[in-house]
Parts: sequence; structure tokens; C-alpha cells
Amino acid sequence: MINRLELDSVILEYNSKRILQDVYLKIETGKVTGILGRNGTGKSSLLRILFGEVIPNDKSIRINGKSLGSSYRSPNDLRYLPQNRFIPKSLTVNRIFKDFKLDFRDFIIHFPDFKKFHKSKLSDLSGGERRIFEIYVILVSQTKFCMLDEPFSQIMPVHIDVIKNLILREKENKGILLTDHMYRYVIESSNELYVLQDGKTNLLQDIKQLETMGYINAEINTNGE
Amino acid sequence: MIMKPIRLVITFYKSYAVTSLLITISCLTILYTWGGNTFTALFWFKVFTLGLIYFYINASNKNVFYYYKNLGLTKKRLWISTLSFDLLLFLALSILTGYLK
Repeated sequence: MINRLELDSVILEYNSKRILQDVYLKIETGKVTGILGRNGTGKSSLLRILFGEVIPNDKSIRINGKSLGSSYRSPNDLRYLPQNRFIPKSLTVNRIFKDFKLDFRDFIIHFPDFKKFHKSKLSDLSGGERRIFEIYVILVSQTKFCMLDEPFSQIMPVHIDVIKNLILREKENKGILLTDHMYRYVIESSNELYVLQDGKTNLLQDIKQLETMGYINAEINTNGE
Repeated sequence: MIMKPIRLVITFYKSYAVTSLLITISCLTILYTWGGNTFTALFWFKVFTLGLIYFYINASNKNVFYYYKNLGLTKKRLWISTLSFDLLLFLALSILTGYLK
């Protein structure tokens, strides 16, 4: 079944300063939707509005046409990876997998180096290692949609490739929303790309628009060659 | 099905249980030593310290609430269940201390 999450009519103001307006966003099963934008344009705020953590002045959020009124989000509908560490560090890896109903054996197929951490507490791991677990549980656990805020930051290149492959696999059964300043990875992983500028979402037609919008320097080859 | 939310609430309660129980034990010691006329003051002291704990965790450890929300437990539900339990435990132990004295 194809599920569709839509967001529009968003108005968000902080201290009378308008951060978001005229936003439209669509996330669908089978697709990765990317969001790019300069610092302070409201990318994380947008994700937090979707997750019910920021209450904007106005908004309309719908899943399969059904409006989400309250701030409660069912994990069956939506999961969210915030920018900062969010799993209590006192928990063991084993316990986290149990909470998210995930199979550790599938995890170590993708991250064989992490086999030794099965019974470790998160407090015993490095920042990058903790982040891998955080990304994995949000990305792979059962839900209709997942939102990933900066999943590629703090992660070493060899693991970034694994995460990109997992995103490709997981988009087959859920819609994924992705934002990160490591824009090449976002571009490579996304089927649709939006750029946030002046509080508005613009559907990206051509990568060169990123230059004109002042998000990347003109001399950078956006193909990564 | 019901075990998972309970397990999550217990995990959250553990993040401040030691501090809160130490405050409760201190209050009970005073109650045992000085008698029942101290109860009203001790009750409001306990409520005040729970308020401090609430604001401290909300400010310093706010990201952990995403963990629970991703598993279907809201911040409001976590606080209401753990603060109610903690205060009821305080009241129950206070009554028991009154009987023992």
C-alpha cells in the first residue's frame, strides 16, 4: 500500500519573525524526499512540526488524507531521528533493539564490526557508534514514515555507504524524509528534493538552482567529480 | 503489550529515582524525629523538589523524550505517571512512619 504524508499551510513565527510560510511537502511510500537549505531556514523546525514537537501558528498535516490534529504521533505512522543524541545512554544495545522490535542479526549483517556491542551500554560507545544505532533503529523499525535529521553527520564514510543502502532498502516499505548539509549524499539518496528559502519550499528541478540560491559555491561540481 | 510501556516508564523513572528517594528518606527521618506536626511543611518541600527535578530534566535532558515518543510514550504521560507514583510512595511511607513512631 502506498501511504502519503502531506504538510501545507504552515506558518511559524518566533518573536514576530516569520520562519516558515507557504510550505508544501509530500512524503510517499517508495520515495525519499530530501530537504536542503541554509542554516536557520527552518529545516529542523519543519521536521519537528511534523513530529508534533513544535506547534506552529498554523498548519495542515495529513496522512492518507486524514488530518493529524494533536501533537501525539503514533510510532506506527511516524518516527523521527533528531539532530542530537536522543537514546538514554544508560540503556544497553540489546534493550534498544527489544524496544524497537528489531533483530540484532540483521543489524550485524550491515555493521559486522558492531557485533561486540550487543550487550554494551550506549555510554560505553563513541559518539559515532551511538549515532549508527540511533539511525538504524529509526530507519529500520516498522512505521509508515521516518524523518532523518542529519543522519550523515558524525558518521565515517564507510558507514555512510551502508546507511545509503539501508535508505534504499527501507524506502520500499515506507516514506523517508531526509535533511543534511552533506548535500551530495542527500541528492544521491533522494527521489524528490526541496530547498527551503525565505520560509518557502521550492521543488528542485536542476542542481544548479542550489548555486543561484546561495546554498553551494558555484565552483563546486555538484556531481562530485 | 502492556509490559512495554511499563518498562519504558520505569526506565524514565530511574533517571531521577535515586535523587527523589534520597529526598523522601530525608523527609521521613525528620518526620520520625520531630513528629507529625512537621508533615505539612515536609509535604510541600517534597512537592517543591519534584518541581525542581521536573524543570532540571526538561532543560538538561530534553532529547531523551524523543526516544520515548518514538515508542509511543509522550512526555506528559511519562511525567504524570512517574511523579504520581513518587508522591504516592512518599505519602504511603509517611503514613507508615506515623504508625511506627
